[in-house]
Amino acid sequence: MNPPDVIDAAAGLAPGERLHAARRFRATVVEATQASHDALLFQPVDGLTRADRLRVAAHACEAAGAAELAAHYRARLTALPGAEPASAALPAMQHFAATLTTDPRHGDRAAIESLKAAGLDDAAIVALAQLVAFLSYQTRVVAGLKALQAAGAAQ
Amino acid sequence: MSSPAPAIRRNGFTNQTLDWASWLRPVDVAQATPLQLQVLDESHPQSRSSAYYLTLAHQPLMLRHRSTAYNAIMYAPGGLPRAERELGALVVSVTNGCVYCTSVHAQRYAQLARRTDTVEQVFDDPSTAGSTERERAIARFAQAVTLRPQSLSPDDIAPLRALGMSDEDVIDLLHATAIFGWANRLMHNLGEPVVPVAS
Repeated sequence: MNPPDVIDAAAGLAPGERLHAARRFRATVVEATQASHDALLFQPVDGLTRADRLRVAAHACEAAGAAELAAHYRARLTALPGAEPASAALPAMQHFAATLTTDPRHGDRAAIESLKAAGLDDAAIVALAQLVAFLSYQTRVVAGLKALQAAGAAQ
Repeated sequence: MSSPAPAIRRNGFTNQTLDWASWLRPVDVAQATPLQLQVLDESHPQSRSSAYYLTLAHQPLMLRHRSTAYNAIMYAPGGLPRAERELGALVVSVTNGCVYCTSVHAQRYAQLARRTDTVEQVFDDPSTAGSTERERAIARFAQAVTLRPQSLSPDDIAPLRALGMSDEDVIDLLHATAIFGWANRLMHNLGEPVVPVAS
């Protein structure tokens, strides 16, 4: 059984609806977006637990004002079997995530060095950066679909 | 290969080809796993010599799904014309201050649109850029998606519909602008643009 598509759920799109169908004009995008979500959050990464990734995701979505997606990541954290406790590196990861989310112009080499100092290796930093950058895409797609939904059907 | 476009340099942005240096250690092609090599080749024709793709190859499955989404959003046939997707990408990249992404998508847009006047306008001020009403509407929507996504409303959709865009077209533009929220954050936060040494 396939779990529900995260963007459809957050934007309130149900099968049979106009925008649910319009999204499937780009079925490859819908599938790759969901596959990205699944890999970024749940694929094993040395030195970066699933629980910390879900904590970072919820934090970044809250920083972005994306309430539905923040609730999604909180719920997935609560439902995670054997969720690991927060690691010592979580504050550095949360800081990196919030800055990258709210103003990507502030990203700099020092931010990457602070993650290394917190114990993340290069592969874990790539996973974390991919996750946070993906969330900036995911929150925008949801926000745009909600606006399109609120606009009603085209005349 | 196209001939080099006339140089445009404004506000710290350029349409000239730049290199990119990683702040992490890119994967060494000679040491790469078969999966890493496969995903690199799926992602971009020159990825085996790209510091950017070799950095992202540390997580090959994450790169694979990103590249599938990116390539479908920017290159798939039908729907919104590709030049207009590139205009959205260009406006977002300037708005996010990603000099490297801006140089790439200024070139792609100019190749598809066969002119550079709008590129100059985007470098000057993306909020007012556009040589036609349609370009101005695309640029304004791309800025709204980038700067105030949580206040997007039917008022942001109406100008696109007034130009004849279908829901599928609007979703294409939404995807092309949103994915540069993703791409810019990687390119601008894992490394930095480098001016190539003259050959």
